[in-house]
Parts: sequence; C-alpha cells; structure tokens
Amino acid sequence: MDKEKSRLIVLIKESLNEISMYIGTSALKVVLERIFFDLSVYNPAWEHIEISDPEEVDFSKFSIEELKKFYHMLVDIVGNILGDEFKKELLRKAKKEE
Amino acid sequence: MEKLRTGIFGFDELTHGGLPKYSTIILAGSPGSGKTTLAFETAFNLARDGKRTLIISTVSEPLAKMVRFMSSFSFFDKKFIGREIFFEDISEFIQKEDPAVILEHIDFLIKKIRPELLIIDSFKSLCENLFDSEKIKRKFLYTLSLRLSIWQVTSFFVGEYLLSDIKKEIEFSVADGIIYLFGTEEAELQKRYIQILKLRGSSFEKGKQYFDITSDGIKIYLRLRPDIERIRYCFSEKEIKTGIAEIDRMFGGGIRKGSVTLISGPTGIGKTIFTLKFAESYLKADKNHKFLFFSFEESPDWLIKYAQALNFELEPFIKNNKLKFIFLSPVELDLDYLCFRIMYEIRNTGEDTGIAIDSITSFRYSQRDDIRYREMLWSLMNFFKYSNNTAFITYEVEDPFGVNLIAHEMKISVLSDSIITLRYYEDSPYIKRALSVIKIRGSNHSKEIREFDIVEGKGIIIKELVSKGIMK
Repeated sequence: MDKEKSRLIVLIKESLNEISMYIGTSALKVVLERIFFDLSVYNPAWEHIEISDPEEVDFSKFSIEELKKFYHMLVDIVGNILGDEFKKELLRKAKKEE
Repeated sequence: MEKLRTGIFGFDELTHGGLPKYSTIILAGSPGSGKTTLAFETAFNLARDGKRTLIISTVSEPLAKMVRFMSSFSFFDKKFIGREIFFEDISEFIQKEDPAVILEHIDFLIKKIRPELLIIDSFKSLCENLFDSEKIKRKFLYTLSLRLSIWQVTSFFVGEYLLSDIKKEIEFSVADGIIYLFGTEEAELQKRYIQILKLRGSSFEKGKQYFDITSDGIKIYLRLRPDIERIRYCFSEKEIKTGIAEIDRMFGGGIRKGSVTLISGPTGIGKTIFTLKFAESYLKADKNHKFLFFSFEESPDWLIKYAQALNFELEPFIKNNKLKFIFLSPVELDLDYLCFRIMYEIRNTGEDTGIAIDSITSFRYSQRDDIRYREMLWSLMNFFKYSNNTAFITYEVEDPFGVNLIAHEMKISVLSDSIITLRYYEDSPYIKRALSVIKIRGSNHSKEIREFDIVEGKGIIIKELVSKGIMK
C-alpha cells in the first residue's frame, strides 16, 4: 500500500474514533451507512462493507480518490451534527496530513 | 450555520434568514391555525428552486383531502407533484403498530427520494397511534431525528398541539425548533399569530407576530419595534413655506424638512384640513416631492372634495401621481399590518416623501394594549425620521374645550419635532377656534394663541390674537 493511502486510512480511523466519542457508535454507524449508500452509486463495493464495528472497517480496497471523497462526506455530515468548529478541526487535520 | 429559506412572506425575516438546515421543527397549533398551509407552501417554494420535499400523511387527514385544499392556493402547481414533491400515506404502516417498521419505511423513502425537506402531518396522530410507552416514543424520536440530520433532511413535524402539550410531550425536548400558530378573538375579530418558541442554532424575532392566510398563502407581518439605536434627530435648515404667512411666522419660518409634526385637537376643529394644506405646501415646495396621505377616517373622495371646496390645489399632483391617498380601515386589521402597509408604501415611494397619518387616534381601534400601542407609535415615528420623511400626524383629543391638548399620555410628543394645538374656545355667544404652536425643535417659534377659521373658497384664515385667557 502506498504511503499516502496509508496516511489517509490512519486519518480516517482516528477521525472515526474521535467522532464516536462525541456521537456514540450507533449514530456513527448511521453516518457510515449513509456515506456508503451514496458512494455505492459510483462503486458498488461500498455497499457491502461490514459496519458492525465502525473502527474495524476495512478501507484498504478503495482508491485514494474514493477515500478522500469519503472523508469529505464524513466531515460534512458530522459538521452538521457537531457544528462548524468540529468540521474545521477535521479539515485542519486533513490539511496537516497532505 | 446554513439556513433553509422557506420563501414565505415574512417568515425568513422572522427566523433571521431561514431555518437552520437539517433541523427538526415542530409546527404546533390548533386545527385550522395554518400549520399545514405553512408546511405545504414551503414545499412548493422549495420546488421552484428544484429542491425536493417528501410529504408523509399519517392518520389524521386523508392525503387526497389535504392536496385538494392546498390546490386552491396560488403557490400550488401540479407540475411539481412527483417531480419535486412526493406524497406518501403511511396509515397502513401505523396500523401495524411497530415503530421499527415506520422508521425503516421512512428510511427507505429518504434514500429513494433524497428530499431536502420532510413533512410529517400529523405527527401528533402518528405518536398517539404508535406509542404506549414514553420510553419507546423517546427512542423512536431520537432515532428519527438523528437519522434525519445524518441524511441531511430538514423536517417539519406538524401536529395539533396546544401550549399545554409543549410542556409535557417529549417530542418538544427532542425538536430543534418549535413554531406555534394560534388565533385570538379580539373584539369579535379573529386574528392569527405565529410565535417561535425555540430555534436551536439561530436567532429569531421574539414574541407573537400577526399573520394572515390569503389565496397566495401565508403572510407574516413582523411586529414593528422601536429601533433605539437608529433614533436620530436630524436637523434640516430647509423650511417649507405653508403659503399662509401667519402660520410660517408662528413656525419661525416654515415647516422644517424631515421633521415630524403633531397636529392635536378635538373633533371637527380642522386637523385634516391643516394636514391637507401642509400636503399642498410640501408638494409645491419641490417638483420632485411626493406625498402619501394615509387616512383612517375619511375616504379619499371626501378628502379631495374638502380640498376643492377650500381651493387647495391638489388635483394636478394626484394626476401626476405625486399625491396618493390611501384609505385603511383600522377596525378590522392588526396594528402590525397597518404599520407594514404604511412602511411598504413609503419604501416603494422612496425617501424624502411627505407623509400624513390621519389620525393615529384611529390606530387605537386595532390595538387595545397601551404599551404595544405606544411602542408602535414610537417605531413608526422613528421610521419616518430615519427615512427622512416629513410627516404630519393628527391626534384627536376628547375634550373639545380642555387644556390637556398634547398627546402626553403616549409620550408621542417626545418624538415629535413640532406640535400644533388646535382648540375651541367660548367667545359668547360663539364658539371660536384657536391655534397655537407648542413646540418647534431648534426654532424660536411664536408663543401666541391666534384665532383661526376655515372658510369655503379661501381655506385657512389666521385671525387676531386671542386676548382672553382660554387655558384656565
């Protein structure tokens, strides 16, 4: 796996972990369900991801572009739930990783 | 926070720019209060911007009936049905009495339609038919509102709730916003009000606001409140000559432009005649001047007849659209609506317009609350000032021979730049009329009391000084 993709997956995992602390695992599952539903329009593989444990989701089979798209959707949806400050924080983290 | 503009007249001003997106709003109120109309009108306005709405009917009113009534409004357009507006009847699912099935079905519909707005009408009926225990209801509400925010759907839960329900039903603690619609009976008139009780993530106009349901839908007229920070006392050197030398002298030169003049006096004394004369003077002073004459007591036809009889030259200005008479009935309307009409006309005519309000005493008929009445007068006069209007306001005093002639009880004299009092006095065996100037802000006005008369074909005639004491 290339370096950039690994870093992106780590960022996503860390962010999911942090989000679950704020909104809980069941709400996070709904967030993932919604994002996977939207992304499955472009790649049906998203539809079949196991989300019983959000922190154990396997992102390795997706491209960097898809993972970026996922992260932006995550930021957008969670930003609506937790507010603009949280959204900015997630975006700042992503920028740092670039 | 992003906002969802409803496009409803006055509503987006009420919510300071629209409803916070993805919030859950309860539209509460008694049957017939306008909840469903507000929800449907929002849906059709969003449809005009290409945004989708899912309307779910439960068990209170058949969908076909709701649609039939809504189709009588001008906002209804059948081309949006099935394209931007989607209806669904879930009464069958409710009969199964399983909240999980309902949630699953709503989820399915949201995934399929991807609406911007979800309307559930009636949400109260849904809750009543679905839940035996508070615990299950709370879980359902929590899950539904969470799913809606994650799916980025703004929702209206419409229900026949009363104020007492708001304190005890748990849906109100889960909701992000509560909008309450209600009606009151005031002196045999039915008036409608809307009030935001809660709106997370947004500021809003506090207190009840008057609204009306017309064939075009809902129209909300926001309460006019004094804008203290914007109160200003602009001082214009420019004076408008009235054409009556004695009056100009008593005013210390003429009527100051941009001022508010209060003309106070008992019934029949000539307040309206003076105001018509001032309107003529204002229009003659500058060819660009316009004048709006708001009358609450006399019809425009009568006012024009008075002016003709007294040789006031108003007709050319009427023909050139420089002078407009607007008759408003104070009895059947709300004061907020009246103020809205006045401000609307002024804004459409532009700054620097001459204004007459004949009379503010009539405002009283549409507002029985003293504090509200005074607040409204202050707001309106303040509006005249910052719009740079030259305004003339008549005020009727009850006692024809009394000395308490200034409208002090409402403190409106404070905001008036000039005060003229007209009064009757006895000069046996006659009743005569007298004029005095009580106040002209920034001017050394006359302190005289002068007899005056109103003569057909001649107009206002200022006579000699009243030598006897008439203010005892």
